[in-house]
Amino acid sequence: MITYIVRRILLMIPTLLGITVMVFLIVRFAPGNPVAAPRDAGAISSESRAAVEAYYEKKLGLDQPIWRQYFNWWRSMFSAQIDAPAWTDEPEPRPIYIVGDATGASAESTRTLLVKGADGQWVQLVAINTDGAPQARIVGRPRRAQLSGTFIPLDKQINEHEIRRYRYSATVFAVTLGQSQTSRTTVMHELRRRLPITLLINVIALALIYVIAIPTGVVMAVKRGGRFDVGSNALMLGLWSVPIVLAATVFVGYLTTGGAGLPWFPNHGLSSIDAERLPFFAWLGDRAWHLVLPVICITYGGFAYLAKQMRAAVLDNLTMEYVRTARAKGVSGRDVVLHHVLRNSVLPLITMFATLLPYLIGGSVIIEKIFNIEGMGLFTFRAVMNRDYDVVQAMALIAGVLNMTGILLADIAYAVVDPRIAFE
Amino acid sequence: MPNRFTIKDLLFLLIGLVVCLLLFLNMVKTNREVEALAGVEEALQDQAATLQELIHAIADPTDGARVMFRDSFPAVPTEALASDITFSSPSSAVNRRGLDQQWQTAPDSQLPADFAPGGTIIHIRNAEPATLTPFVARDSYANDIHADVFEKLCWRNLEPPFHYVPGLARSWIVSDDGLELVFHLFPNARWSDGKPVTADDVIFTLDLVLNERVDAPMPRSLLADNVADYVALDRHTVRFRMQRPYFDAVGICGNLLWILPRHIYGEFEAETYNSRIGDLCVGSGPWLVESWDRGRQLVLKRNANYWGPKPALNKQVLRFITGELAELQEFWAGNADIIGPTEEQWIVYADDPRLKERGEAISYYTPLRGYYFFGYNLRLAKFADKRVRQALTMLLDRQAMIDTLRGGLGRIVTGPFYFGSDQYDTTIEPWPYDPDRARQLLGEAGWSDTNGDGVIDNDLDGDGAREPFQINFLAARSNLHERYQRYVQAQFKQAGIQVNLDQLEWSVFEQRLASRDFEMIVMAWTGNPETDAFAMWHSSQVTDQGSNIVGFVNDEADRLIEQARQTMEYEPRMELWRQFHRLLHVEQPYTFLFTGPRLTFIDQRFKNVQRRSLRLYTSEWYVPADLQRR
Repeated sequence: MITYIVRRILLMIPTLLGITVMVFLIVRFAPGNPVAAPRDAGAISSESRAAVEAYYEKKLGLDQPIWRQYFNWWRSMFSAQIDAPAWTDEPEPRPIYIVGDATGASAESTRTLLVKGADGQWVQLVAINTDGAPQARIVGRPRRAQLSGTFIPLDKQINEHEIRRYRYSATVFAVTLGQSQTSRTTVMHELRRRLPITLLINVIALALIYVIAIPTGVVMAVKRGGRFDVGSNALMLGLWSVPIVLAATVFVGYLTTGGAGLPWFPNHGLSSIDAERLPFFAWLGDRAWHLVLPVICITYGGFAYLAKQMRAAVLDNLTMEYVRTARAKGVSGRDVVLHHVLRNSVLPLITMFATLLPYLIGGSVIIEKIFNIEGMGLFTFRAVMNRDYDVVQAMALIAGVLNMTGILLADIAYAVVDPRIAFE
Repeated sequence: MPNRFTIKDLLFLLIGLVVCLLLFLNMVKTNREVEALAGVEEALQDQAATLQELIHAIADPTDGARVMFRDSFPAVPTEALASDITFSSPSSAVNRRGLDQQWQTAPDSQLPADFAPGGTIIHIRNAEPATLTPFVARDSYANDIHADVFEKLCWRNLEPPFHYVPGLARSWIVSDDGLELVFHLFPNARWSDGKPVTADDVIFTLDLVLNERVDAPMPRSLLADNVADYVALDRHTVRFRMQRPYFDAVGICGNLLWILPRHIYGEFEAETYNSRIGDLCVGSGPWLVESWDRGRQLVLKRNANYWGPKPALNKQVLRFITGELAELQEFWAGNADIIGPTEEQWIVYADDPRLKERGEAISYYTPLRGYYFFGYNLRLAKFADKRVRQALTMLLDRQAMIDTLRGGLGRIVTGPFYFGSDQYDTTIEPWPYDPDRARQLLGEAGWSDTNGDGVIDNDLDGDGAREPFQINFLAARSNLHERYQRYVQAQFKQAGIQVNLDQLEWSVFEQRLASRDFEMIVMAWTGNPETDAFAMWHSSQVTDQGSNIVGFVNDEADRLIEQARQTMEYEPRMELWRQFHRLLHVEQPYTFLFTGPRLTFIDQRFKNVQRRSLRLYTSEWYVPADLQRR
């Protein structure tokens, strides 16, 4: 088993390389380019268009040969410069600029600070010691660094006059996944901000789909042809046929504050205007309240497919001979279904789960747009529209990695669930 | 079965999970409590500041009136407007004292009874700025914020004819040949941290923009094309030398760049400046960026140390909501004070009693909005004849397009200038909607349906074979564009012209423009108070991705543009522009369509909301004390 997994993981490396080449080529040969002028209410400015486009073409390296652009992409995915306040290990860096006297920093307690000494040297302060001496460190482990000045060793205590002596500026190894041209940060930075949002919505939605669809599917199979089977089947197919765009728009139009109908739910976003000021449980309630409509929209269409898969799998197994044997032995119908049939019916679900992994982080453009949620879907969508090459490539690459991981996990899960399957 | 998973195991597992969850929730809760405390602290500080201000105001009664109000924008002395090169002699220079007096309502008794400083306004923006770094940011969302946080040497007056008025510079002098400009800064101008604004900061800003490694190609190319050199003559004086006389020299030198503080922005290297200080925004303007919660909102706070007259409002909250529907609903729900409705929303609600109850609907035509047009690729033989282009225009009922396709929101324009400016020749009658005359003109140009297939044809290349009149009509994808396209298709068909429609994504469309690979397009240019026709119409801009997309080449037009650009006196220059406008009207390289209004719904709590022609100016509004929200 272990050797199998190792072999699979090793095989992923060439596949991954292939994916990067494909993704890169598709993105680069798609019509349009990232230097298009921004529009203001649909109009563009006639001034200096040529100069602007020429500048960005050069800056983004679009004038270089295609193979070099490919390697530039790799480099930009795994390097960062650390002379900058925005690049820290804090999720939301909030540099505070203190000019002149570095001792002024002590008042600012524990936040990450960027402090400048009298001669224009910058250093990042991570914590202030009790004795008032600021502690400085450079975030990340510099490798192929082009240095100017001297590095301060990690966690070494320094005092004020030392700060003035040091300056760092280096290109270091860091997983940035590239630079977003439209949001002007690294892709990693955007992911950190958006992934939790999308995960929150999708995990809740998926859990709901599974929790509702699987029992329904089982009951449908057991009582096939009955009223429940036909009724829930019709209902789920009906739900499945309602376009999400329509449902979401109707919800926002008629069930939210300021809408034409009942002001039951908030009309956008994931929290109210002053949610930060709410006490914890009110805040939690507020968040839940905001999640209701988006989650419903993602969920309602998903029952049909899963329930029908489950129903088919259970039905298959119910006609098997081992079931008849079990029944003949006198096992109760309930135990037959729960202990024998169900376990044998989850294989298709595992297959499906493998494909869900990339979907989990993908996010839904429609939902995010209509409910005004700044998640992964909108981010990717905008990147595609603006031809933000690094972002599109990074997202496609991540989807590829997750897909492969999902398939691998599914294969392992098969072996765990079904003793007949063994990889040797 | 020793390994059997029993109910007991399940219970243990569940209890464990619940304990973990509770622990986690408790941590989050504590965290939030701490944050809430910080918020309280901040609020206390705010109150302390307000108290301080109040004490200050009581101690110094004149300061209470140092608030922008009523005709906040200084009436520019008439003698200074003799030419566009305003304030050209020291005697007419407006000093800060004089401005203050015009800006204030003078004695308190003239303030309306309900006037009160303070209050918050909540705007909605459809997108968030990518970055707040000046010049690097290219979107209008950042530009709006910069206009509140930074200042330029001079501003455009908000009313036509939009002459320049003092900003950080209290006066400026342009030499007679138009080649030398000297700007005098207000000596009392201060950055928000209290440091003085000096000529050194102006020089720093210019150096920064001209640095090839800074992502500011637009202002850089304008500066590099026009300005020969610049130097600080003393602490408060900057001199520019132009490469050649240019009519908008004051604009290039004084109205192009936000002036940045050297002691803040001078600390960064170009790469850092470009992409890593996106949330740093420190200037000398009446507002400060208080906080920016990415994806949610940005808060601007009144700059308590502002060196000029301060705005009455205390806070501006810019909330980012992409959905148009949600935007409107937040307005109805009272969670937004000012929104820009879509045209459809305006048509439905502008006269709705529900809106009347809530606030008012304001629409105004600003020169910044620009105009729509259909452009013809003049490199193609079929569009080379101006009679054909006139005929195409006359096949289109532009008023009907406004009424039916745009719900009446728009004004026909006949040329590339703002219709309220002196550049625009108001005597020009738009080409009438006259299909008969259009057909006649097409006939004169050699187009007729010789083979009876319903499509007119002509022998353009002179090889004896007649080609049918077919047009590929390209547009960037949008509902509005599609409506225009369908209308054009139907109208042109009546005259026997076959139109094929094509819609592309914006970035692809832009690429096609750059490679000049199109036949007919619908597009819009943004406008300016005084538009320089050079980029769009001069023959030198036909190649190299210039903005003369359609390939308009006309010696007379070149001459008029060149001459107008170096004419410094206002009236003669306007005459040249109007001449150019008349020429374009006859040539019809575009079918000039219309300009649309800016639309606004605004809450009724706000008073002194003046209908400005350039843009609404929040800094002059106020909210009566009992209507202010925290």
